[in-house]
Amino acid sequence: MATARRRTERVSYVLLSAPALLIYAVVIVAPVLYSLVLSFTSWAGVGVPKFVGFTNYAAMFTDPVFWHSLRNNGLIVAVSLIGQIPLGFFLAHILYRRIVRFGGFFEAVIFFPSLLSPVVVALLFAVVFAPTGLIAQVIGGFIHAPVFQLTVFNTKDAAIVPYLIVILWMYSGIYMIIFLANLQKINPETIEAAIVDGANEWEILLRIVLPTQVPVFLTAAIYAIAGSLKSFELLWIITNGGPSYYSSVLGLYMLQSTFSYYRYGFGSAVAVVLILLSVVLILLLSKAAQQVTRRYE
Amino acid sequence: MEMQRQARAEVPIAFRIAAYATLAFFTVFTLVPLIWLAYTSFKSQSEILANVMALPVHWTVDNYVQAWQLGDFPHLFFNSILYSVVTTILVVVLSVSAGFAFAKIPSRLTPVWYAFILLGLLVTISSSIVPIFVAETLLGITNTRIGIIIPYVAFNLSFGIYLAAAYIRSMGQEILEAAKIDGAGYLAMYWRIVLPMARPIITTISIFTFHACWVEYVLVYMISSDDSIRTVQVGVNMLNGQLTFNYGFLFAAIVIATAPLLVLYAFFRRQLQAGFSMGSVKG
Repeated sequence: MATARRRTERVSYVLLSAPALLIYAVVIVAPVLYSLVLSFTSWAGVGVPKFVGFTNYAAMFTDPVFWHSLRNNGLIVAVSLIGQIPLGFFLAHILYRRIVRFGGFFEAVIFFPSLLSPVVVALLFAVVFAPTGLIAQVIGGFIHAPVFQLTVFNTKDAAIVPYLIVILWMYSGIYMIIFLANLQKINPETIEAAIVDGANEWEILLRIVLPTQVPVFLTAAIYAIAGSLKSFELLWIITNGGPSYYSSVLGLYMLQSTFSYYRYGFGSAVAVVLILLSVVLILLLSKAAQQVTRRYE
Repeated sequence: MEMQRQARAEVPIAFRIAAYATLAFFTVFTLVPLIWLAYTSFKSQSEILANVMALPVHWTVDNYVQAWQLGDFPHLFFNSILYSVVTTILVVVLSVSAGFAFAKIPSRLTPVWYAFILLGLLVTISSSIVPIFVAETLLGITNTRIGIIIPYVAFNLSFGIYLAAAYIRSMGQEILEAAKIDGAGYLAMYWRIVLPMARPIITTISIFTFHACWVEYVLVYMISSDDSIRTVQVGVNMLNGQLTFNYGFLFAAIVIATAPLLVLYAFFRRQLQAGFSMGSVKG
């Protein structure tokens, strides 16, 4: 009786979970493992891949484009850490404490850009930042120079800056939403008790609310790192990594080094590094986040 | 009568200024590009060239007519809706059933499978586009609808299962035990109890998956060599550059492509927000 029951339990478990696990394994895990194999070969997409050992990895790690792309990924994470995340927290706190009227309106507006498609946002901001685009024309109008060209973003150091502004515009709302959801979990009585004790809004922000959100800052940082490594379509359309490779990121580097020269082996090596980098960084950070969460709960 | 919570903290003037300044700046920063986009789409090319920031003197829908005709939008919308709807249905069915198995059927393997699935949250179609492209080339499914829908389903499964398992785990054990005593098997329970009770999380998964498919660009762009299977996102980007410096035309195409998201936002903002905020606690 009990064993029969146990068997139907097992059959149901397999029937319910196997389809999802299979699709996941075949579509995501298998190609990633196959890329790992390809990354040790030289392959142009046809014929038999030729084993070349670590040549692709060596070539990548000595390629200045790789390091510059990694640096740009780092800058994107930095903008999240010092810009989007604190800003998102403060915006959420203002709305949570109902400091201003029409909170719902502000929440809806600030969250909205994060839902737009990257293509649409990229097309809009490509026009804004183009050498003869919106900003150039507005400046040209002010200084009466109709042929003014915006060239400050053409340098190796500054080429990524327009993109940093775009992600600040597009994704800060997500951090606001993340903090808003977590602020709801604070026990209102803690804040009321502090108010009875005479705390003002600064003290509520710094002494009561901020400490409860430390784990959220860490998960937000994980989200930022994952986001920086996972997506490149905005940049692809706005600058295509240019001028030269100055605004490239790792994802774009992977795409371009694979498909511009049909170097599938090399591109697979970049893909492996990209995926490993996000898995390792995020597992480390989430371990840290768990430690901190335990301390605060 | 219940006592009302009326205690208000003192709001120092500097705090009030900081709050209003941050909110005002960020709202303006968010809205200005969007408002500029919206009214420029109603401006003629000559007016745009004369003054790029000014409001239209003569409002015109010519840009929309032209974008609609050149862009082949009915076809693009058909494809986008097809991929998004089919993917959403499959993701919901697969995630809720796997989520139910992981949450309610005891098995020593669950932690292993669950961790295995959650690793998928760390990769996206974009970050594994090279492996996917290679796999699809080997299987000969590039430039097919199947080649788009299968990765869409797979890459949305991790988050769907994560949401479904967490939700179903928090569902009361009593009703399932009662059904078990009545002799119901797990599949019957799934159909008669779990699916109806999981409606709120099914809505969240559906909205989130639909949105993710709707805005996806990289996969469709990379594997479609044929106009007939392209989506709105790829179509809009192809319009860019057909008419140089014609912002009005491009912006009209952008507004057309974004209109469905506006509807989604108006009706399902809460679900979208819930999805995004839960997406961050996945660590």
